[in-house]
Amino acid sequence: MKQINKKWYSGMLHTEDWWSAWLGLFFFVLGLLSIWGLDAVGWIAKPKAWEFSRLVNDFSWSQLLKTTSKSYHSLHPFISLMVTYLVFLTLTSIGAYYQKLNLKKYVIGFTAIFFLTWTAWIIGHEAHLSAVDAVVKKHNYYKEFNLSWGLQLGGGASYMLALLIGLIIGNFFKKFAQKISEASKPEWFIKTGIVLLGIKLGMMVLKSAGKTFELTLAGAAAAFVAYLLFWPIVYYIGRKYFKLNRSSAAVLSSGISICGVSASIATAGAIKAKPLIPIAVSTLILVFAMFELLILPPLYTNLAPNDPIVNGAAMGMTVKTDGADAAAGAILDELMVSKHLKQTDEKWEEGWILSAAILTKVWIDIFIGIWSFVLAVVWIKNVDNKEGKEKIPKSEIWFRFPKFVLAYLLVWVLYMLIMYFFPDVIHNAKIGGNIVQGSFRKLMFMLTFLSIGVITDFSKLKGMGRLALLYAIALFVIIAPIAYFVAYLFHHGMLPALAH
Amino acid sequence: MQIDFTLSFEGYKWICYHQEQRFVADSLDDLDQQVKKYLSKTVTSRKVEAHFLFDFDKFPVWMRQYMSHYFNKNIVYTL
Repeated sequence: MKQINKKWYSGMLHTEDWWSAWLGLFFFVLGLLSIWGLDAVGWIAKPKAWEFSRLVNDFSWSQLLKTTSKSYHSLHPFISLMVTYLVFLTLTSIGAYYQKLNLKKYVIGFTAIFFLTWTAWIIGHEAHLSAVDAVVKKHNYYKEFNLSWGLQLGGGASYMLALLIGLIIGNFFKKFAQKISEASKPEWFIKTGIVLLGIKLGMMVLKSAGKTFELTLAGAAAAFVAYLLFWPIVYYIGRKYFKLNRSSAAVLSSGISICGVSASIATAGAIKAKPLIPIAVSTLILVFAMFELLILPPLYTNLAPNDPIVNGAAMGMTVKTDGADAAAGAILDELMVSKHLKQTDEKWEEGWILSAAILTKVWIDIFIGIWSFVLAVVWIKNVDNKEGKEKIPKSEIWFRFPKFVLAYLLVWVLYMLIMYFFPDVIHNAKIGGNIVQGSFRKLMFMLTFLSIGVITDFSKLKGMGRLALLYAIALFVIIAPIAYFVAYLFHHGMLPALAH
Repeated sequence: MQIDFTLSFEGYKWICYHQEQRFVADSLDDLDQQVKKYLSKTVTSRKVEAHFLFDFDKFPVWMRQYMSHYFNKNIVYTL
């Protein structure tokens, strides 16, 4: 089956990118039905804080799970989980069918990933792991459960556990990882989650328009500046000190300094490098993205606990691939909010730090199409010497443009417009909106955490020698410090809104 | 006159298809030359715009979730 991009609408039914947009928009519309008093999303299951000894003494599903909305409280928690499974399985299977995935393998893989994800999510809510010793929404679970000790990780515990389970499968149970690989789609899951985050951004505008627009513009400026600095430095080092040929240096520079795998493929295509180059570089990017994801959130939380937005933005510019960046942003958000709460009794609203990480990444994703086009023109003229003989269709920019970003922006703008022009419906709209950007979005993030672990195989670093060394040096000596400096320049002093 | 070609790869080789015709080369330049030779034998028009459309289906499945396009290119051949 050919996968050719010829018309502007090519791929609308066949790519993960477009299916993130369709799925995200569908959930968004489903949530909006609450404007007319119809709760079409509240059935989704949600994990509860629980304590081990209490559960062992008196097991009940209601200690672990609940439906997200009160209108579905009569639904047994386990049934709610099964409904959640069936709805997500059905909708993603429709997407998988159109993407020409093997449906039987997808269903098996998704089922395994879904229930492993929920296992991690539920365990991560055990009070000793998650409960923070502070009052949140009139509850102090740490005291209510009479804990003598606790890691106080907030929701970060579930994220890290899902990641760990995924990594164990990907590295020690490779046959099983292969078996569920048809449904290990972290980019599809995270892009859908990011579309839903558009609702959060709409809500943030309502709460603090100035702050949100400042965050958006600062993200764009920071991403642009970082772009211009990263790429030439890494390219120069690759050529001068690591003696890479032009193609490999260019593809690696984009992969390390822009947005990972998608940038390396886009750049390789733009300069018409042999496809084996981006395939090799992408393997490297995925493994290093995991190091970034594991190291940076706790590092930033402890080094700069009072600069949450700077940390988020720096994350967006440092961690490659949308999945790993969003995952790192989500862990950072949870860790920083919990730490701040523990230290000050003041709760930052969740989602601001994550949004800072996502916004810089989204801007970078948007730039990649334009950057690749510029690079293609430069390459034809100065490297291939084919100016006038070969033409690059302008449609290349569109084909490389991340379509889920359109849905993300659409959701954001639509939500703002509804709130602005129909202020009477704000209360009702928020009911559905909060569920979709809360439980739905978090489930997509959790699925990402587990599946990104499943597809990360550290043994693939073997034989990468020179490339791996350049990647490590560029990432930790050049990209991370410059990204932090640029993020500091544009975001210093910005703080999340306070939760009520 | 305009003709569409499907572009692909296998290992280190570039491959190009048009109907039953298949061209294989180590570099894109060699491929262009083979196509030009073919066109000059089969086409009556003196100017041909060839659209080379990359078939992304040949990329590993796990990579397709990150990007769904490699490249397309147009070459105008004067025969």
